[in-house]
Amino acid sequence: MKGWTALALLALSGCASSPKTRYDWKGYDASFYALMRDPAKLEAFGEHLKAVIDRNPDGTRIPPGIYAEYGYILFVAGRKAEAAGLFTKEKERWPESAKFMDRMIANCAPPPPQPQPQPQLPSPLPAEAAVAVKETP
Amino acid sequence: MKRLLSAAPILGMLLALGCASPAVVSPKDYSKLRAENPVSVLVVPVVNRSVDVTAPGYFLSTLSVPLAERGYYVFPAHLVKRVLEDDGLSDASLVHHADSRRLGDLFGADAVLYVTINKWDAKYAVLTTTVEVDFDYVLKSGRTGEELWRNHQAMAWQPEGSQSTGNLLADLVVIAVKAGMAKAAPNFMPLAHLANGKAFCSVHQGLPAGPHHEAHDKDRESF
Repeated sequence: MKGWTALALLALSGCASSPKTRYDWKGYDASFYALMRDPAKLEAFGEHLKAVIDRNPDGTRIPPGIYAEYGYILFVAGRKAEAAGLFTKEKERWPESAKFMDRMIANCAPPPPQPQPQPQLPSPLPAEAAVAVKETP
Repeated sequence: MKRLLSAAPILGMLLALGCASPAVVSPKDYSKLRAENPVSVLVVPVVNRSVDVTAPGYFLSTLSVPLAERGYYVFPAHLVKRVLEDDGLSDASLVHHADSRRLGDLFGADAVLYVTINKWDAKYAVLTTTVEVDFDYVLKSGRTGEELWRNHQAMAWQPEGSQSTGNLLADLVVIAVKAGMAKAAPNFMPLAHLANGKAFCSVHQGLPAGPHHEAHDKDRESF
């Protein structure tokens, strides 16, 4: 799997001034490929993404989209508060992602509480009808 | 099987293929792309014209790295794929035919990259297998819907000839076995990576350095 990233680097060397990549991908493309081969490998994809994030605490070498990709894995796992945190990080690091990240953050919010149905009280008789009932022998 | 295709000699051959001078083509007109100056690029699922049903998913995994390294913000490709599926746009052809302004608006993308796989084939002959890929790349504005850039890459690879053992029969057996292995699980990924590298980076044909690249707007002689 590592060979592909090396090949990609070499292919890009025509335009890159140094062999080191701008971002720390840590085999993102290889683990994405593995996920496309086997959609059940979502968790493994998530672990790869987490590894990139954990290796780069200051965030400067974290590639575009990585926070959001990991946020989605957490979202699918039901960890919506953490997912929202990651979408927010993506938005802060890459302001051009703001519109999309706002939508994802909104999806993470818990649904508004449903209004409880009120028990039905018998409707009072209109005043004229009450008087008519009283006066009728 | 994979170890056959990741050996250093094959790497050398692939690089030789990648660096071979193509037919001379005139430099592209970058005026629209420069005027638009997109920062963010949405990579949408790939249309597949080959017979290999695995091609689009595998190829999608190769696009984000070179585009981001070129200096553009690339939306998270897997998340985008799932969001499009949830929105009823799981068919890549539907997505490709949709107005790019709609996609630009949905995601807040400056530009949308559409890639089509024309070939993702392994041609089998008794003693050798040729792996071929052929891609079309189109970048459209997410704001105006106009085409900003397009490119095309076609690449082919053959396993290099085996070192002779001096015994003709043994050599033929080795070649046939290698061809058979390639037939059973041809590995298209190195070619796909090379094709993308050339498509995005070749002088006068590729993409100019994006806004997150130090060469942004300083490479007008090349792009």
